[in-house]
Amino acid sequence: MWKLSYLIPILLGSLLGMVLWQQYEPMQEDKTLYTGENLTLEPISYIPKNIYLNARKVQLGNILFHDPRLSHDNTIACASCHGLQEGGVDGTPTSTGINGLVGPINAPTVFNSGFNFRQFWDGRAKDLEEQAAGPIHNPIEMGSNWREVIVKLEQDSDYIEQFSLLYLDGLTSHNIQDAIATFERSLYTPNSRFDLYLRGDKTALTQQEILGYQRFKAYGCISCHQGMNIGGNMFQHFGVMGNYFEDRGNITQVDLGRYNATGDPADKFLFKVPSLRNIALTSPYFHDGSAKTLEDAVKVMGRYQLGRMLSDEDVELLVAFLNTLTGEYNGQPL
Amino acid sequence: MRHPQWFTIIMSIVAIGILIFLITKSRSIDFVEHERYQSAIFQHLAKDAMINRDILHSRYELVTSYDPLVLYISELQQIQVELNKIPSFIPSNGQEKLQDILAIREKELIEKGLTLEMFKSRNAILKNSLRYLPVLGEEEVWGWYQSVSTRSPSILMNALLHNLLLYNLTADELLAPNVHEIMDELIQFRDKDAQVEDEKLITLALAHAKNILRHKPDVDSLTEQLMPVIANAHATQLERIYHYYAQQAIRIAAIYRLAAYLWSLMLVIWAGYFFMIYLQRMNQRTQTILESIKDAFVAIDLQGQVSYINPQAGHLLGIQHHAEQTQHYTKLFSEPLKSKIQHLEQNALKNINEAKHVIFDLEDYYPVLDKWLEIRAYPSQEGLSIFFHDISGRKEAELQLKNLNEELEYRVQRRTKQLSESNKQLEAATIELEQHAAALAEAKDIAESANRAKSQFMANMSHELRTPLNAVIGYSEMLAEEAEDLGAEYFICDLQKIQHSGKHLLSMVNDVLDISKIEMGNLTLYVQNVELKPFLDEIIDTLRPMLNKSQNHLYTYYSEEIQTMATDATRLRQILLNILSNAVKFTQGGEIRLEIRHCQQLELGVTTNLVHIKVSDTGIGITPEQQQHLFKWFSQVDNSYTRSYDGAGLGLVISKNIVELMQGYIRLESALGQGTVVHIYLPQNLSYCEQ
Repeated sequence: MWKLSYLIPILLGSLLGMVLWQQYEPMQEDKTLYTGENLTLEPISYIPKNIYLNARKVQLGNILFHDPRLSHDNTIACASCHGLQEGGVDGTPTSTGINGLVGPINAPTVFNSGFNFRQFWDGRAKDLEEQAAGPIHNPIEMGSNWREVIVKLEQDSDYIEQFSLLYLDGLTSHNIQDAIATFERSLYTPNSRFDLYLRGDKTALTQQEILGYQRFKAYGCISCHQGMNIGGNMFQHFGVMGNYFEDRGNITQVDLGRYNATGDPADKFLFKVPSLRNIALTSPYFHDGSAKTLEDAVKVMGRYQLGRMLSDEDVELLVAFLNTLTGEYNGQPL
Repeated sequence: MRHPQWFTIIMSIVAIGILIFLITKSRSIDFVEHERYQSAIFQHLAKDAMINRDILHSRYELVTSYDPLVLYISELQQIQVELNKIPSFIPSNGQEKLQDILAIREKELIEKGLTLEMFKSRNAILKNSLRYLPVLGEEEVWGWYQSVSTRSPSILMNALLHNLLLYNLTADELLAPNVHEIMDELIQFRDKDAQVEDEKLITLALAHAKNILRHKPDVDSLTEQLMPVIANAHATQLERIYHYYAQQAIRIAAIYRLAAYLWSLMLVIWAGYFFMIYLQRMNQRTQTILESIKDAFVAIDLQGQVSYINPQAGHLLGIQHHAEQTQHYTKLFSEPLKSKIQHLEQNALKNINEAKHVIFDLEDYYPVLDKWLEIRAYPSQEGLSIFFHDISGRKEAELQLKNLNEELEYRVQRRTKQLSESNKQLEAATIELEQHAAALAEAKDIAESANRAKSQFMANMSHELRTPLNAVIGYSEMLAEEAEDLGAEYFICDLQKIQHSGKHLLSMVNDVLDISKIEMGNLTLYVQNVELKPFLDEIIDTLRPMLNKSQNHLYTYYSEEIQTMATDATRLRQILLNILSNAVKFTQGGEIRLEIRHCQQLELGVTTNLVHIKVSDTGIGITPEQQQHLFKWFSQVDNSYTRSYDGAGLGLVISKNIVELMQGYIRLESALGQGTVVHIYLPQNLSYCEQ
């Protein structure tokens, strides 16, 4: 029957459809492993000129960072101890919290903290989000808690608007942490003179500073202070070549370092190696703020960490090098 | 084969449901997810390898920054999170296995992180000491002591340095005792001979040497710990297990896909099959309708090819029906029909677009066929439909009537003339009277023949009436069937009423035809052998619905002596149906007996075998007065009473006439309220020549 001949294209079409139906073709996988890309590099790398972040979150985080309502008595903001004009620190050996309570430990700089592998001297926070909650809850720092903070912030319609604009669930503790951490990640300081040198501008450093960098490498400082942040990517015992704490005396709880976070006796006196970026601006030095000047700090490091007798010339050259590490924030020198 | 409509609908829904189920199953693999997971596994292995590579690099100072390690370990943690999202198409036992391994991996990862931290710290110290010790060895101060001791501190320092450097390069601890020996000597020297300044220097060198001695095995063992084969094996296992289950899931999906394919193919074939059946039925229906038309019908297409000839046309035109359908019409028809149709076709092609329904309608005599034909042609998109209607009978009757009228007129005229002539001969009174009587007898003849002409006309008209009736019945039947297909149940009842009325009218017309045939003496019997038992069964089956309706019981008896009968089966059936349906009609909830016996009749010394058919009922009965009118034309017993029973009262008269034609006789016994018995005697073997 010729009338049924139109069934033939239907059958053929269905057959073709079935054949083409969900044929699995594996994607072409790029199976090349990266090899040897960092073998020839300097142990220190420069900070990128641009890091792309959500600008609105940065702005919101900036406001929160400077907002004293995050503390119990509305006196302390994050910026109180991490002044952006003071190199991200407060310039005192240990910081003062609410009600004039004095903390046990030196405030580390907030600049470039996004490059640190963990946060706090003892590395107890794995990232900036986790870190942001720390001081807010610390009774001698900001002495508050999330419920209190959120109740206070909710009275500000600007916050409500900003948060609901940026986050689906609006004003929550998680989102406050996120905004602050995003802001802190924007606190990177590129274009230090040393970075310019690393980028290839050999005239950026003086002869003396280049010598200082060479000693920095030759004397083993580089063993711990390496990477983009010149530190901040490992733990090290304080007092490898000598008992620093015995010599200093008056051992406190915070001197136990990472032990406070892990409880492992092997972790006693173990600290996160701090970044040396902008180091000229962040005196006093060490977790106890015991070194007032860079020279002091270099000498202590040389003695207790390196087991070296550093000559005055060595110290001078090393300090000269350290002074080249001060970068720019938002295009302005710190 | 025919299912109710709901059954078909449910079957279709189930079939499509199965198809959808199979398709969903066959598409269960999310390949994007699959790719993501495979890539995560690959990245996981790759990052693990890169960490191991960088650890070795750091150990032998090929890499001086720990940034990549920190980066890789955090990436590894992210990949681990990614890996924990196992694709949902992996069967549950596979999911469990993967989760077990992932848990192990997670633990290993945490372990690795911790060990890595330790490694970084120790390695930094080791590196520092290794870097500083050679510098210490180059201090100028060592030369001063050469004269004091046989083994000068400068030699000792060099030996220490060499040993430590070698020690650092080896993977074992074999050189450690050597270093200790030299250190002991240095300590001895420091305690005995050294000056204050130098003492410091030596202490420093010793401290660094100690550092190296302590941390080198540490770092080595940490390195070893960081690169356990087992961890990698777990990652490979993860890949293998995932691959196995993913392949399994893909295979199952492929099977479903095949099933879905076959199923849809089946559905298509199924639908095609039903479509074919539908087409066939449509064709069949058209065929049946065309064949049921009593007129001859020929369809010609636009090219002049004959596309259809119905049997009547074949019969009428003497053409083998079906066989020569594709011929050109000119080959089928002979002159003068051929030229007529040619003319017709030319007209048709000219006028096809004009809204003329019948383009041609003529009556003519065709000597070839010896028939009068009325030809009607209807144009259509397909070509031309031509109907041939045999009107020979009607024409003949008209002609006869005309002739008779003419004859009558002629005779009357002649008689009048004769009368006037006889008037002139009034004196011969007796002759005149005789002549008058003769004229009267002739007039009676004429009247009788006029009556016969009327019957003849009636027979022809009845024949004419049957044709449209057949169309009414046929089309109403067809409509009822279509209405049933369309599910329009409420039409069916009405259409059936039309059909029943049509059938009833047809039977009446048939009766009238019979009467006229009987009156004309035209009824012909076709004698054949009849097997009595199946014959009777068939009749009873026909009556069954009526019996059920009136709740009557039918008892039949027939003698074994009679197996066959030579008679006209059609007419015998007509008689029996008439008598039996009367019995059923006039009885309610009673019994009806049909008895057939054999008997013999002796008449003028000849013995005839007779069949005695006796039909008795327990119905209302008939009074003797009524019985007198029973066998007369158009008389149903009681007008007032029997109006509740249909029928024109022709059945019994026709039956009586047929029975008498068959050389039998019919007799009726009845009393009012006692039931009725009808006896019919028929010769068992009807001779072929009668009348």
